[in-house]
Amino acid sequence: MKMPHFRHLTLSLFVAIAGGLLALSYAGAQQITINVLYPGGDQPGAQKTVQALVTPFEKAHPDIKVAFQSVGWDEAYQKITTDLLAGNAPDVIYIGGRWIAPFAQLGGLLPLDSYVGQAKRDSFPAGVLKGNEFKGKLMGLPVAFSTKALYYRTDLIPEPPKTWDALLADAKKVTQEHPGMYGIGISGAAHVSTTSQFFNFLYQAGGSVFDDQGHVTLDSPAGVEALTFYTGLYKTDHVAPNPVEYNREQLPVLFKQGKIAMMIIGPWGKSIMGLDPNNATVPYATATLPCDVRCGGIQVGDSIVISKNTSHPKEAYEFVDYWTSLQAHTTFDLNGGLVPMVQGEQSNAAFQGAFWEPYLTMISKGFPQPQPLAWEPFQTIITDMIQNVLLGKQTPEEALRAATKSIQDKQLEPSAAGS
Amino acid sequence: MIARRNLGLVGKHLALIVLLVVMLFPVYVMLKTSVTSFDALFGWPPSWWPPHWSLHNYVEVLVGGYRFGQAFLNSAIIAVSTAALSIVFGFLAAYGLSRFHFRGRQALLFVALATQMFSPVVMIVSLYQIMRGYHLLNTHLAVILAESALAIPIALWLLHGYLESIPVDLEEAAMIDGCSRLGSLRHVVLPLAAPGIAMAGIYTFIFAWNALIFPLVFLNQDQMYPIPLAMSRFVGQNVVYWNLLMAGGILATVPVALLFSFIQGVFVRGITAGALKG
Amino acid sequence: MSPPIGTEPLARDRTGTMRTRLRRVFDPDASPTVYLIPTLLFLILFLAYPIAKVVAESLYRDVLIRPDLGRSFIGLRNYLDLLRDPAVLRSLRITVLWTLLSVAGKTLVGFAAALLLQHPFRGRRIYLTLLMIPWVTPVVVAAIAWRWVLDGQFGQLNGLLSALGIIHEPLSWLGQQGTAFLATATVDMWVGIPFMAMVLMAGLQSVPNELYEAARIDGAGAGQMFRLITVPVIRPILLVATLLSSVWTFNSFQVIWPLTRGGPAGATTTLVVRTFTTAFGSFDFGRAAALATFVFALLMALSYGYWRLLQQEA
Repeated sequence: MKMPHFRHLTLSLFVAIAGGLLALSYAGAQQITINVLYPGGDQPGAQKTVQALVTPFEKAHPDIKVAFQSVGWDEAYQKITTDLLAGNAPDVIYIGGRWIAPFAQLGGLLPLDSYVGQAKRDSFPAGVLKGNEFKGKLMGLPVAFSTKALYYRTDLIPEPPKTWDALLADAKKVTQEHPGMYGIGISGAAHVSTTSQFFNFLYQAGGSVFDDQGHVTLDSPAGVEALTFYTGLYKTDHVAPNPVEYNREQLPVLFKQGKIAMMIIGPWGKSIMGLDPNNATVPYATATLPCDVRCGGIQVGDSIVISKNTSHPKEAYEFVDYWTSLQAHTTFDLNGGLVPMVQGEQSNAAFQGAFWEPYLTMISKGFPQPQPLAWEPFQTIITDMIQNVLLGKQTPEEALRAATKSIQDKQLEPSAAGS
Repeated sequence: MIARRNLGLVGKHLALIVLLVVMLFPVYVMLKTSVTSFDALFGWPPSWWPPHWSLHNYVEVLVGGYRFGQAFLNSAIIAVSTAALSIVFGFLAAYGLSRFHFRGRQALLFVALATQMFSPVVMIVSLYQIMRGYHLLNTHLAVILAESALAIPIALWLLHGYLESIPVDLEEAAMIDGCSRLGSLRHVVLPLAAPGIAMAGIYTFIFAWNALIFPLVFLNQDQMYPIPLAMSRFVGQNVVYWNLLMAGGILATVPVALLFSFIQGVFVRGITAGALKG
Repeated sequence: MSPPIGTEPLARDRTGTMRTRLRRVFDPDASPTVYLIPTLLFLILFLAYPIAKVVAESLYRDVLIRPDLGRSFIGLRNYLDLLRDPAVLRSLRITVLWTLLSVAGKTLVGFAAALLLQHPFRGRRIYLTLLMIPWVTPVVVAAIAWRWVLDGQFGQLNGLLSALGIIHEPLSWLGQQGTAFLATATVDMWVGIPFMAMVLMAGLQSVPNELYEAARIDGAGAGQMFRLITVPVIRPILLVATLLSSVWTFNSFQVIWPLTRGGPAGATTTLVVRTFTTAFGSFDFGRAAALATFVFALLMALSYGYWRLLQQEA
């Protein structure tokens, strides 16, 4: 048998690769290219969004080219982290707002205070902008803003519940009268949405994760009440399917299948289901979240940041500015099923109507996401806490105490940031 | 006697069929899901036969915005190069360790094994800095070099075991006839070692075909992504497009499986000659 | 086995000066240097150097999101903290159990497959090709496919069990601690069985047929032949295969992470998963480096013991 000449093969392969790369790199470098990392940018529909942003911008700025790079959301965090650590990150990065604190602590973000004028600042709701600040400096501009609303089956639940007790009563009624169906779906998987879901109840019970000084205040009577109620929906009241495997984004599918009659989710619930509220199979409507001691819901957003190592801060900011301007933002929100945030957006006709009303109302009744120094381990502590109670391994009191201790031990409190 | 043998044969086939049905269950699910539309995925109980066949997912994955064809090419480049590099370096070192007996020989073999014990997860940052220093970021070469570093020790092990089973007499005869060692290597050993080389090549090919972490960290442009990384794009922030994901999975697997079935004979021979004798 | 060649001085180099000795070191006919150097250099640059950096890093306190704390030398403190951390010890327990389970499964099923496929018969080629499919599937693809199979509401596994009447309500396989542990181990087995089967097949085929013939003439039954002929011959290969498999399985990351991310409630957080989250979640690189080095040392010790066992066999 004649042996292929491996050495020759390797050599020619190397030459081919090197040659190809050289050819690629020899693209005319007159223009400035801004690299943008946009996780999930390859999803169906996201391509449309990207084009809607890039084309008008490049037309208005002929000397700037915008190159989008995408990666899966599961991998995004590691990729961005490694890039920032090596000082080699893309100029503009689209991140979850929860990542601003760790990335800023790493020293990877460019503060935007000198670029953002007062008029621009005023175009955002005050609380939302605060969530993008770190140690007093503005680190990013908010996008993909969302409040949450309660979806409920109008054929099974005549009046949306306004209090926790009413919520429980409605859920019990549905579960009893319709075997195989649960009253409500909640999330308990190790996913960021689980923390949002729980924090809604924590806030409504009068509690909070961190106080104004940045110390952790989870372990409180309000905390116990909220955690007991939340986990009780599955454990004691049996009105929810086992939440441990589900994150919030899987609930619309259950809703559509008629497995649950209520869920709490952002406007994309409608897009995921692909059903209008007045559809024939699972007619639904949205309502503001039920209240306990307080009324309110968490406000979560993504952010657009500029990396500190960029060599074109001015141009990068021009693109960021454009992305968060009224027109581009409206298109972005419409395409993504997001809540209008920029001033002037809400009056857009597309955001009127019964479906959107609760979302808009919740804007003023909201509270921002907590800002631990590192989100990922914080998320693990919170979801472990919830799961330990759901799985019966700890009581709510024990779980809250353990979580508080973990947060302190791992030095995740904002107060530990030093100056 | 004949009946007993036939019964044995039937039993063998039965056992193998049961084993394969169980093992290939996920592949069946992959196939079924890949021809189903997204909306039809979520029903209980799940269907056994897809209600409406459609190759739409494959079209979407290959030709649509996902550029899977490009990803396939990237994977091929990385895998073939890694295999080639691993074979060359692995074979040379294996020859050196097999044909020369010197102190520390066993230790080096053990070191080769030891390289497998350090999880690449933590090495990423230092490797990233090395690649950056050589201006190799966003090149396939960076991925190839990193993957090869992990694959060469195994190729070395496999080839060493194989070489040990090739008697030295043939080389010695050639050298007595005036051939240099390098010459005898080329003309005598290499042809005999062909199955072992093929086996090492296939193993390292599949190893590099799996590459996810290094491409994730070293590559900055979508069009450079190999398949595992390209597939991660189907996982959105809110929802997982299982239908597209499975179509991509089938595309990632089937060609390699077909390739394997063709060179299977060579491969089995390569293993057969006591390939793992330490 | 093979007598050492090239170690006797050739006639032309008997002078023994420094220069000739040096030339001899690089002589491809006489010395292994030329064959070993390229590979050694490559591995030193791209493997040994990063590993050395990580080991060095483990001696520092380096938490990247606390730049105010700086990067300071703390010696073995990271290791001491590790060994006293109940979460780490839990991960160690989980890793050992998981590895044992998965390797046992791979060995048993792989051995069964090897036994069935060792002799040529009609159709063997097809079976072999089909058996190899889990191996040629990229691990990430396999993990994602299994995640869909195991889905708690719409997965096919639930569908199958429900059709067989074993369960009535779909089970959340990845949502409960015990089943998540078993499920991830099963997926790891699935990925590793083909390679194990191939290696063991090679081992089985290396048993000379004459031994079986002689035994059959002497009237030995199948069971006896297996125990007294097959097992002793295949033992060294079996040991090497399980050693390699154990080392790989111990550090298996690409199977667990897409399936459970180490959950639920840490039930599948093996040491490598913990290393990853410590580095890229908590940004505690000193700690993560110590974890990785600890695993390395552990595996080294284990395999050294194995190795000595093997040497005694030979």
